[in-house]
Amino acid sequence: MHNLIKNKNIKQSIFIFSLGLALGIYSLVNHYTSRVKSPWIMSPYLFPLLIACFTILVSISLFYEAKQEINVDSTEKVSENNNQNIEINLKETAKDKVNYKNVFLVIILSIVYYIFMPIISFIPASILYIAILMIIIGAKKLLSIGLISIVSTLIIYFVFSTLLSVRLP
Amino acid sequence: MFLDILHYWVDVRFVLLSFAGAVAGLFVGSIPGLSVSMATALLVSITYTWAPTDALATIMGVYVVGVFSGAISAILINIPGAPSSVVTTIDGYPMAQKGEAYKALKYATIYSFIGSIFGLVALALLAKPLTSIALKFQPMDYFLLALFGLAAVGGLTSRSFSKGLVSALIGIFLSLIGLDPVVGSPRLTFGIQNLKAGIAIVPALVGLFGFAEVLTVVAEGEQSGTVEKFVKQTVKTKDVLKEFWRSMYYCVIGTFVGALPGAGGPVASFLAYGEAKRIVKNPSRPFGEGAYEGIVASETANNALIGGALMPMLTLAVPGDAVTAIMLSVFYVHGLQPGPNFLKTNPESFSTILASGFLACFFLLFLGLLLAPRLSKVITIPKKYMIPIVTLLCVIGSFATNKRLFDVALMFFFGIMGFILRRNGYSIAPITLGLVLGGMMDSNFRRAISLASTSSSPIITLFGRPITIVLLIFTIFTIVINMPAFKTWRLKKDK
Repeated sequence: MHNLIKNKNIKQSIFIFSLGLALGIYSLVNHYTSRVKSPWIMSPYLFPLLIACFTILVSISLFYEAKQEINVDSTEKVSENNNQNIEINLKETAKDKVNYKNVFLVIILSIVYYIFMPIISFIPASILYIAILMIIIGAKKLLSIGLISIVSTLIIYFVFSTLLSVRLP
Repeated sequence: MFLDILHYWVDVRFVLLSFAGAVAGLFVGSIPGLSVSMATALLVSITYTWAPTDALATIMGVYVVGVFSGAISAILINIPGAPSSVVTTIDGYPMAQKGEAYKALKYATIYSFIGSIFGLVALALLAKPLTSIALKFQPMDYFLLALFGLAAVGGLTSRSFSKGLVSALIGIFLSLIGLDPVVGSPRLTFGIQNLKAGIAIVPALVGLFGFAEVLTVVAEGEQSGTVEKFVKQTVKTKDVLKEFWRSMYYCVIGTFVGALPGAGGPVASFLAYGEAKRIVKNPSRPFGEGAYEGIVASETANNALIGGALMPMLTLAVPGDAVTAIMLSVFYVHGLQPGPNFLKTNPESFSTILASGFLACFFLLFLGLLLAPRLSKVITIPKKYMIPIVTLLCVIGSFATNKRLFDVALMFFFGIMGFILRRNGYSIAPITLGLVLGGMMDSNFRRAISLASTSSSPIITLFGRPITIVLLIFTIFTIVINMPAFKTWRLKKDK
């Protein structure tokens, strides 16, 4: 039971089930409280309701799949105790490789860029955005960072705005 | 039709645009981290003001050459430039390690060319007969075809069928946001004014394929691939062509897989590779250790898929893979309506696709033989310099179509969503397909139900026609064989 609750796919299946249920309730409530009364076959909420039902069914299927995986894993783990340690180590190494801190920083930077772009205009905002993004990803040479961010923004602006007549933010 | 195609080939502007697309395809396809889907999504926003002919010429150039060029990095640095080239790494990289990178690239180029030509010829020959079948389609058939496509793509693109279906359902859900097409009332907008117009497809695709890829690269860091020593060898074309007849079989596999709604390049190349292992009794080397027969199978099939994927997109408005799903939005942006009447009402657009497709095949051959071996420097450009520029292109691409800053926010949102989903094992391709097909499924489902409600025998009206029965069987079969319970039952039975 403890394994079941801790499993990532089980948690996801419960989350998806809740989403399906919420969509179903939303569709029913909106259909019955709508000012313009229409039969179900004409209702804008018929298809969302169908999608909600499918979502609930798929979440059950995902739960079943996850449960099967846990059963297989536990059988293998009992029989191959030594391999278990290796497996855990491998998983930890794989996890270590993913840099979520940088992803979080890029998302925050993108939100700040989105807010400030209309205020300080496209070119300065983009130069700063590219430069900071490069630093987050791991660029160290300040000269390259400065040159690439300024030159690439200006080239992109020229190509899109002047040559391709694409309106920029 | 041949004269129409010829007419495009002598148009210098058309040829140049197609060539520009081909060169762009060569770079985006070969650089890991950039993808054909990402480039096509960006091109939709750039080319929406262009004439449809110009836009299609460029996009077909990117598509045909981009699918091939994934093989370049697969062979040279063991990192596939595109998902459909994953199989090419199995034998391509061992060949490069043995000093045969040039030979591997020549095989990949020539058989990608053969595959692309086969797929496009099949498209030219089969589109009309398919149209006559498509004309018999009723609303329920369209609904079932889309459902079959989503079930197939869910089963083929994710390790877990349920996760594939979850992705497809997310796509459909997102497509339902906005004004209801029948009643005209806002639906699932949650009071957000900007959502009343619905989710714009271009920012969504740029986010899912572009910004999500950026976040993935940021999360995983630099994928360092070392380029193997490059020795130019004499590889006779006559020797390369010895695999020609076998490649025809892989062409059929690729085109067929392409024509299945939703199935993509990786599926075609995996299937063809499996068949190659079965039918090639005496490979040049054992498969997986540098057998060129493996490259032939993979590259022929994934390029033959192009023509196949365009078939359902043009005749039924149901895309065959992620790129054709994006291409479908190109048609909509230009006011063109693919479907059973497309060939009759827009024969010039069909000729444009074929003309630019064939042209791109020749550019593929030219660029592949001439430039591909020299691309080793480009494909190892540090991501820390390239990724920020790609992000800026994503911002411009999402803003350009509707000139709404809200679309940039949507692009970021979809990028973050795509990243989270991918990290948890959910594929992006079914979301794209759901997003493109959701509206069509909704309107056809409701139309079918209301038609049946007026009939004295609704079940017969809904499911009584031969096409509907075949589609229903296909859909149920696809769902059942992929269901976890069925798989467990089969495993137990096999034991």
